[in-house]
Amino acid sequence: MLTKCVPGTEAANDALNVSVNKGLGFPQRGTHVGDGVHVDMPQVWDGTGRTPPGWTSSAVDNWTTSTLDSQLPISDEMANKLQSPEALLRLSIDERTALQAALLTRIDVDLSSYTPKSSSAAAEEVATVANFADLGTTTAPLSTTAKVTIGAGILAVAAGAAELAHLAGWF
Amino acid sequence: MSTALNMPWLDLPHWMRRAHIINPRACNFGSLLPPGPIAAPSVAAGPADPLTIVTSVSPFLFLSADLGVTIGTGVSAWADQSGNGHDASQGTAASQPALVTGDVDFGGRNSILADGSNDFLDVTWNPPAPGTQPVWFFCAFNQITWGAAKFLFVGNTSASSLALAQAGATPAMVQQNTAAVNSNTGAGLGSPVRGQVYFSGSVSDYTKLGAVLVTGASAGVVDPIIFRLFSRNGGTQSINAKLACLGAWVGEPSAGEKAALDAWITAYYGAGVGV
Repeated sequence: MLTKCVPGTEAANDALNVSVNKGLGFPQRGTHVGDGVHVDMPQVWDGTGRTPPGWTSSAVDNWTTSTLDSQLPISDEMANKLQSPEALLRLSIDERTALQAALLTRIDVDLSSYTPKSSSAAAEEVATVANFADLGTTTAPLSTTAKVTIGAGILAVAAGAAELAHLAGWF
Repeated sequence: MSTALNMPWLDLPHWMRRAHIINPRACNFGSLLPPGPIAAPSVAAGPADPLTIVTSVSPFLFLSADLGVTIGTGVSAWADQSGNGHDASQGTAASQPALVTGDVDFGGRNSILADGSNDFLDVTWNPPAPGTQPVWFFCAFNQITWGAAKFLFVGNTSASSLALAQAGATPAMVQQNTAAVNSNTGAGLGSPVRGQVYFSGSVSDYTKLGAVLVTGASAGVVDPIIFRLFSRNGGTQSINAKLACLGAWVGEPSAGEKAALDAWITAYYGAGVGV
């Protein structure tokens, strides 16, 4: 299936995605509906670190095959929203200029060979390695290299019993 | 003269009459009563009933589209009702599946619809290896379209651990924990069905979709590392399907409990899903 995308490097599209989300007003807090137990959703979130349950951090994913080959899907509908006065007001002059130039470069791309960054094991690894506070509960898929790196880091910062017990399950 | 004086039983709670604490037919009020037996009140099925029906094994998680849903752009979170905190979530708007309220496929109950493009939900659950601890799944779902290697649920991003996936030829689904086995064609496209999938790391593994039971081959003993709904990689392997409920338990419930779950499916979602 062809999708309208902005092609670029992974880093360039990560930067562009920041402007896209800023223009569209993300992150956004969700609304609980229906009965029953609901997720523990924080009232406020500064947009850094892992996305808390119930929050929407970004409009779209950056799809990549490598650091040099990336596609940021932006539909016509989203492009129109990004050029609305409401969206443009959220952006600086430089961000507007860069975003509007990027929108003009959109092409139809088959994303079947690309992987969305947020769902990749590598992205989970990066987030987990960067955030030791999650180690007591994370279920992220990690490579052996990442586990060794984290294990060394944990020992260096004297982790709690819960983290160490959880880590024991990895090895 | 008030009704309360003449027919005090009418003012009693229904459960008291049903329990024969006061039986109006035994109190010489026969001439005042309508003819025929007194019908017992029907007990409505509830969305979380499976958690009280299955008691012989503990639940890992239970997700119902009628309970604990959070809407961002689509479904940004789906809360586990089992008490284990194995909630599902999706932080990217474009990858959030849709909540279908009053879905006629499921008797007017809600369902969660994945678009077959890039929708998926991550569950905060690292399932056990079936070789060390069996896992039994129970769900109500509907395949909308079919494509090879598309996942209703899976325990890895890059391998087929603890998966129920479309594979083979339309409309077959397999269970997979490295090995794709027990291919089952019991879930027709566009037809809501109940599903049971058992991972024990032995030839006792089985898929039961609708009325079709396929067993005899082990799906494998690989240890999953995550649990994800609707996709493995978030992209090309996203399924186009609706999921009304999904439960997972530590091992297989008793035959009586499974029969009771089937009865619950029929009562709650309608006879079509209970076939």
